[in-house]
Amino acid sequence: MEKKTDEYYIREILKGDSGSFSQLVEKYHHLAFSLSMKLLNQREDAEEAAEDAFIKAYNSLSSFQNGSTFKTWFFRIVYNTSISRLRTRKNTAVNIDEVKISDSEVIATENAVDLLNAIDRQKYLKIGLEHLDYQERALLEMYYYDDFSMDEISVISGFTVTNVKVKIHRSRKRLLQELKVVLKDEVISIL
Amino acid sequence: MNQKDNMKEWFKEMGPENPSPDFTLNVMKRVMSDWSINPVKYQPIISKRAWWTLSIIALIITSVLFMIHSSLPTGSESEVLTKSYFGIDFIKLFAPINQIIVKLNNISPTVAIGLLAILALWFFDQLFDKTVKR
Repeated sequence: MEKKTDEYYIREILKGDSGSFSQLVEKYHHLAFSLSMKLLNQREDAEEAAEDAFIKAYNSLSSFQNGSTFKTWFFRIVYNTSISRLRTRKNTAVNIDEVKISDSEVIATENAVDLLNAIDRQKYLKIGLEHLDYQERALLEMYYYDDFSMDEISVISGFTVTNVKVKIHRSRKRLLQELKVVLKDEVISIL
Repeated sequence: MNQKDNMKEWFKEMGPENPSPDFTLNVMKRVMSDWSINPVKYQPIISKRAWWTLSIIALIITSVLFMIHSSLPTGSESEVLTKSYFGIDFIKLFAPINQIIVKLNNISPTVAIGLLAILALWFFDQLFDKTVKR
């Protein structure tokens, strides 16, 4: 079946065909859930937040303007909905600890991770990500998995582009620092 | 391969998180229940008030024209009689209108219905276009 553009489905929905929204849900539900999962780190909460984000997007579709892509516009809704939900929790502190990993350690850890087989790599990466705070996880996910540009992440998160660059760089280092700790006894030591 | 690409590759390798299988269904249920409460309401392009105003204006114009038409003398009578109020000769003033009415009266019903049908088609076409664009 020929795939239509997001704009096509949006036009159909605005004309009154609510069923067309299922095409957008089908296309973005994995990505939306992934992002809310990175922010909330709890399945049920993340699923509810992603659902709420879809409903919010549906109800405000008429205000969507083609200045940005639907994906960026929608991810901003997912991000904000998840952050709002997160604020109702008590432990929402953002990690401000200094990153204590040298450049040579970064390279060594990267090489070590690269040597792992895919299954182990995924396992350790997930453990490493769990040690990061919600903001770091979300920024890395958007940049490395969702392929958003720094500008788009700035639109979604509300940070300035410079701030996004700094935060992603820092989050990346923090992840490698965590991976270094996780892998310390298992891989790096045998290299 | 640089460091950024490595990280990108690892993230892609992990793949996205999977929500429950009935996620789409749940979202669509909520969308449809919202829709059933507040379905899309089509606003008429011409409001009821506008229709009433147009009808009243049309009725007034028709009545005035009808009265003028019936009060105007025809044939040789019109050459003899002149009606002047406040220095205005209404007979001369309304003569062109009278001629139009006479000509309209002479149009055959088939042509009149045809013209009306074309006008109606054009009107509904415009109406449909506006509704779709909304």
